[in-house]
This record gives sequence, structure tokens and C-alpha cells, in this order.
Amino acid sequence: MSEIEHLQKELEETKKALQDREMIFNHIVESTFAGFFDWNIPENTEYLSPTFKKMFGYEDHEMESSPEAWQRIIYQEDLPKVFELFGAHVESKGKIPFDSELRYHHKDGSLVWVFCRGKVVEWDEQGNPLRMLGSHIDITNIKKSEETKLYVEKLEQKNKELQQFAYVASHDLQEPLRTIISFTELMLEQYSGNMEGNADTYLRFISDASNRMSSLVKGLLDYTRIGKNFEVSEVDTELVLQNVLSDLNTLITEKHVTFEIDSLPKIQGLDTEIRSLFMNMITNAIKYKKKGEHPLIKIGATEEMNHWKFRVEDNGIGIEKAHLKRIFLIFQRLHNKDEYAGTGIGLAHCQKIVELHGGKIWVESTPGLGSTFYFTIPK
Amino acid sequence: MKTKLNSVLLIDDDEPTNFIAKMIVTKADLNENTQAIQSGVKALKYLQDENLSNYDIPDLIFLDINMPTMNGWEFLEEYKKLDIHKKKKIVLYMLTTSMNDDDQIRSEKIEHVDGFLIKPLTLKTYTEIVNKHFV
Repeated sequence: MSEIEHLQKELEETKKALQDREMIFNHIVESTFAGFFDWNIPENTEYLSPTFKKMFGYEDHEMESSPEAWQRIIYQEDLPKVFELFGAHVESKGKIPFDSELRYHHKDGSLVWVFCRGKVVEWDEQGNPLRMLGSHIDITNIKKSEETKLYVEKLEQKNKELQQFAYVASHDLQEPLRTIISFTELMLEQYSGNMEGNADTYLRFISDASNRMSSLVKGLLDYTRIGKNFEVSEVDTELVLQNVLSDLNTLITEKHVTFEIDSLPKIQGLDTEIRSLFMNMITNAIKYKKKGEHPLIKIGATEEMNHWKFRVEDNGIGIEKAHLKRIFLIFQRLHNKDEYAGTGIGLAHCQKIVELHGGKIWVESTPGLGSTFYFTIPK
Repeated sequence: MKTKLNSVLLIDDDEPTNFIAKMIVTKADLNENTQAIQSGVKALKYLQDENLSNYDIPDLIFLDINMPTMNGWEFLEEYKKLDIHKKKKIVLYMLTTSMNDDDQIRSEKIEHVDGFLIKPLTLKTYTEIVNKHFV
């Protein structure tokens, strides 16, 4: 082969190798979803890759490749930062990295956060920059989650403040309340029957009302406290129920309550809150019993695909269809205080606990026959 | 002395509230008889009773808003359908525990409601109401 043919062959192979390299290079750049720019500084022309433009919602042909094109869509407040950083990068001969987080306006009006990294790769003999290469990475999602994190922190702070407020308020409210209750009791002890007119009735009204208020304040405080402790652990609901029944032993014996309890599962949850949940539901089942009948309470759980479905069934007075949802609202009661005592917080409390666990609570009922309360706890 | 009105009806689930209201009404001595009913449901039954004579149909009703089972608003829904309105014009005032502008505005839109008060009912307010509506 002659030398020319030799050179031609080498040239062909080099061309092919170059094409190959270019294909690999483009593939890599495009597949990392990084936008790519190549800035010819003296001529102020710039190549913007399709992915660079796509990041901002533009097809390759919809946006020209030039410095003006991106300067037009950058968040105007961030533009000075770019020039400053470029100046520092050049002055330091590249020691100071051209790295920054910048905002751009997407074609659809939304804001895009990018991490921009660039480097001057060619300098002339006088030390002036000739060519800068760089890339953009879309960090909008990262920025969004940072914002969300801040918001969550704020919410946690607010929640803490609320807890403190409720604690202090309930304590400060309980004190004068205590005084009223104590001295009313004293008066009843010492003067009952020896006072003229309606004094006994007045004292009874005062005593009843202040005791009721005390229950309400305590109930409210408990309600705000739900979920204060976020330590999820394995909760043996069967064990929890046994504890609750043991606590209610006096009431259970007094009202002749019988139970039918299926085996109950171990769940992931908040121990104290689950306890409170069962306590409320069983107390209700006993309280709203039919006159002259002994309460029979059936408790069980069925396993479903994503959760456990618990049920607490009673043979009490039942609930009218119109009221089935209302009873879960705080302070909503269906009966006068003289008929059945209560604050109207219990079921709201239960709902808050169940929802805290990601579950749902509802009731089915036949007035005169009884009610079945259902609640789900995700696995 | 002829009394200005015959029957006053108090509808409130809270016994002490009815006690005090009744005491005030009696003290003012402007009516013949006072009745207190502790639930909206029971009050409706009372007003629907066929045996209720014209004379006994209340001239003035004080209605509590916040009651269990059937609150004041729900009572009014059924109350406006009653036949007794054909026989007599009943003056009705709503009572609430706390100042809530929304409640007041809402009450102004209801036909049979003549006014809106904050508890407790006082002798002064009661007397003013009677003098305003009954000659």
C-alpha cells in the first residue's frame, strides 16, 4: 500500500473512531438527563443540548442555542449571580468552581431549580477564557422536599405550642374549678337541709355543672394529647384489651357485663392510644345499655388485605341512622346529661386515634337492638 | 291586672338554665303560665298535640341552639311546618351561650325567629321583649 493509501485508511479509521466516540458521548450526556452547554466565549455563541432545553419545556427547535436564549428564561434575580460566579471562576483561573443552584422559568410558567456546573476548558496565551463546558441537573424535586421539610418542622413546632397551651390552660382552668367544687361540697356537707328556700337546689346545680366542666377540661386535654408520643411499636391488642377489662373490673361486675372475645392480632401502633381507644369503646358499650338488661359485648378482628378490621358489638340502645356520622364530632351528644352522663368527646377521641394510625372508624346500628363499631388499623 | 301574655315556653336541655329562666319569667309576672321542655323532639310533640287548646299554645318561645340529638336549627326546620302557626302568631327568640356572628346572621334569615339573645336571660331583656311584642 502506498503512503497516501495508508494515510487514507488511518483517516477513515480515525473518523469512525471519532464518530463512535461522539455517539457514546451524546448517549451518555442525554441518558443522564443532564443538560449540556458549550460556550464559545470570544464569539459569544453557545451550544445548548436538547436535554438542556427540554428541562425547561422546550423542544430543540423551540429554543435557539445561544447565551441570550437561556438568559431570557433564567429567574432574573439569579442572573447577576451567574456573572459574578463566572468572574470569580475566571480570575481564579478555575480554582473557584463555577457551581451554583439557579432558577429558570419553565415554558409552562412553573419554576425549575437546576444545579449548574461549568468549567473553562480552553484558555488563550494571555490567560483569557476561550471555551466553557458545563451541565445542568434538575434539582426541583430536591428543593421541593426541602421546602416540605421546613413546613413539617413548622407544623411540629405549632403542634408543640398547642400541646403546651392545652396543658397550661387545663391546669389553670382546673384550679378555680377545684375551688368551686370543693367549697360546694363543703356547703352541702355542712348546711344541706338547713338552708332556706332553693339553696339546696342551687348548690346541686353548681356542683353538677362544675364537675361536668372538670370532665370536659380533662377530656379536652386528653384529646390534644393524642399522638404526642410517636413511638410506634408492636402492640398486642389482646393483651391491651385484657388490661382495659381489668381496669374496668368494678364497673363490669356492677353492671353484670359479659364478653365474647375472639383472638386479636398484634399490630403496629401506639400502645397508649390503642388502650385509650378500647377503653372508650367499651365504656360506651356499657354506658348505653338497655334498661334492665345486662350488657353483652362481642369483640373481634378480621384480617383483610392491607389492614385489620376490628369490631366492638353491643346489645345496647342503638343509634338512629341519621346520627351515625354525627356522633364522631367533638361535643356532639345524642342524649341529655340527665339521661346519660358524658362529655361528647369519647368518640371524637377514638376517631382521632384511629386516623392517626391511618385507619377508619364507623358504626352500624339498629335502634333498640344494639350497635357495632368497626375500626381498621393498617398492617 | 290583666297579664300581657298567657303562655311562655322554654326549650333548653340544661335544667339549671330553665330553672333560672323560669324564675325570671315568674318574677316579671307578665304571664299566666310557664313551661319548660328539655328537648327539641319533646317540644315538637307538645306543639303538635291536637288537644292543645288555642289558649295553651305558647305566645312566646325561648329556644336554645345547642342541644343534643336535635339542636335549635333542626328544631326550627320542623317547627315551621306546624299547623299551629295558622292559629296563632308565636314570638320566638333564639338563645346562645357565646357570641357567634354566624349564628346571629343565620337566625335573621329564618322566618319564625323574632330575635337572638345571649344567655343568660335577664329580667330586663325579658321585660323589654314582652313590652315590644305584646300590648
